[in-house]
Amino acid sequence: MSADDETDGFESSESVPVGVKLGSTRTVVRHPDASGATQTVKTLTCLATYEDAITGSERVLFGEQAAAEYPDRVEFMLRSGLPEDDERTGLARRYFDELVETNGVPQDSTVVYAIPTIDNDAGLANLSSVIEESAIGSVEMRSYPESLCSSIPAMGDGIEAIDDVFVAVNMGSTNLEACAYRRGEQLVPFSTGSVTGNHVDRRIVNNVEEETQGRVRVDLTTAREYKEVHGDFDAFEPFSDVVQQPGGGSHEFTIETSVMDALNWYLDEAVDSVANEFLPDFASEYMKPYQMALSSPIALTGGMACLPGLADEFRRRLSEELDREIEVVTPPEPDTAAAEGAVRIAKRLTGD
Amino acid sequence: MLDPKEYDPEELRTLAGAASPTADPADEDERWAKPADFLGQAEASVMAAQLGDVYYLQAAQGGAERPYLPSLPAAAPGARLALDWLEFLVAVGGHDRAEEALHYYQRVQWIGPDAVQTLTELLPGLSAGGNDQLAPSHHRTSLLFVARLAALR
Repeated sequence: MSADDETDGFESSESVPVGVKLGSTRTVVRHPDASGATQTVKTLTCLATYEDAITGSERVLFGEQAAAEYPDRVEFMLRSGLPEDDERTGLARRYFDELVETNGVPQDSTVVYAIPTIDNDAGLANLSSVIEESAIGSVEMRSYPESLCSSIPAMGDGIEAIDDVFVAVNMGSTNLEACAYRRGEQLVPFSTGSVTGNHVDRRIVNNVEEETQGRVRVDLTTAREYKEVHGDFDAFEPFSDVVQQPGGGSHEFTIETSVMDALNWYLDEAVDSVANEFLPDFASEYMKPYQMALSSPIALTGGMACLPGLADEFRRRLSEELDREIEVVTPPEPDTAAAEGAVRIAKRLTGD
Repeated sequence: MLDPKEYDPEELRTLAGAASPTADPADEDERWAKPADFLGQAEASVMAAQLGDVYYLQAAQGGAERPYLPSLPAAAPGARLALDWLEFLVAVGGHDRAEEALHYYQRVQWIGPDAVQTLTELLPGLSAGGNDQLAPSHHRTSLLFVARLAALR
């Protein structure tokens, strides 16, 4: 075996580092291009099929285009975080293969995947088959908890987080994850599917119907857009939207409370889960790391952490609940942080 | 299977150029902060007292084995201490939350089923209390009661 054939994971100079987060709502891929500049591919994790009017063959649309043009039949195949069955696994494979091909993600690559730590072995096996059969990652593949990968850009410019003791809270669409990390080692991982960004979307749907006295019923995609575009803990402003009436004409309505009511519910539940479920277990198992971790900033990550003012409000409410001052840090770009952390680990694996 | 829970922390530390926390126990002692390093003086003294209680717990059982308190101590001071503990739990959360807390402490193996049964039987004798959620600080106080009761066994 020549030196070039050795792929021990540390010295693969021909390999391109790639970081991937296959999220339930969005998938993000980060990798360097030929010039060395890091490219980011960010797209909704969904696809929609339709019949070609001319040839009659089945055609497929991906990402934002699928969600915009076929909201009635778009399929978010990782809606629960992992592909649940063979059909969704097939869709996920189709989606991911198309994604890496369309965006020219290199095959001779070392790929690090950021994956949620959900107790779902069947789903994880399905996702593993999608990843392992994909064209990329021929040199090396690793997977790490999403909460760890997302925390890496929050804690510094390199991978300093690996040499630290801290608590990470990942606020995702399908899971709230909390975990302590002690120099790279995962302690008392906690996750709940009952406090999620998807719950906020469903609450917004119900709230809008209530606030408009039953005149308007928005779909989940619209509710998610309301949350992402208008949700703001610093300076929420009421906004107006227009729906087309079934019998013709349009109806304009204003939303004042629907979005922030749902978000306030979410934040209260998230703080309660962290303060009264995760942290007591952490304290009872690891007293010293608990004290050390709480004297350092908590890394707050995930799609929900993108909302303006959410991190500061989380800090305030958690400090109140714990009766001690807590600090919170967020990555510069929470929505791409998991892939960024993953690509930084991948760079180290390739010897960069 | 690419299980994110099964990653190798040693490999990660090597990639990060970080020292292994288990490389040398003597060095590790120096790496860990002491409570007084980051707490105010008053809180540090409370923490020192808490650590003292943990030492009681270890002394009581020749090492802290779970559950820390399999059953209540027979001695009279133990009964008084147990009632003080229950009064504290009921004063914060009321009877139902106090009972829930006892079952929670059984789940995390602070106390054993016999201790839960005895304590639960004592609960109705206490007058009605508060209606607040029990916070981590309350659970920490409970752990101190557990330590003291275990030391009396």
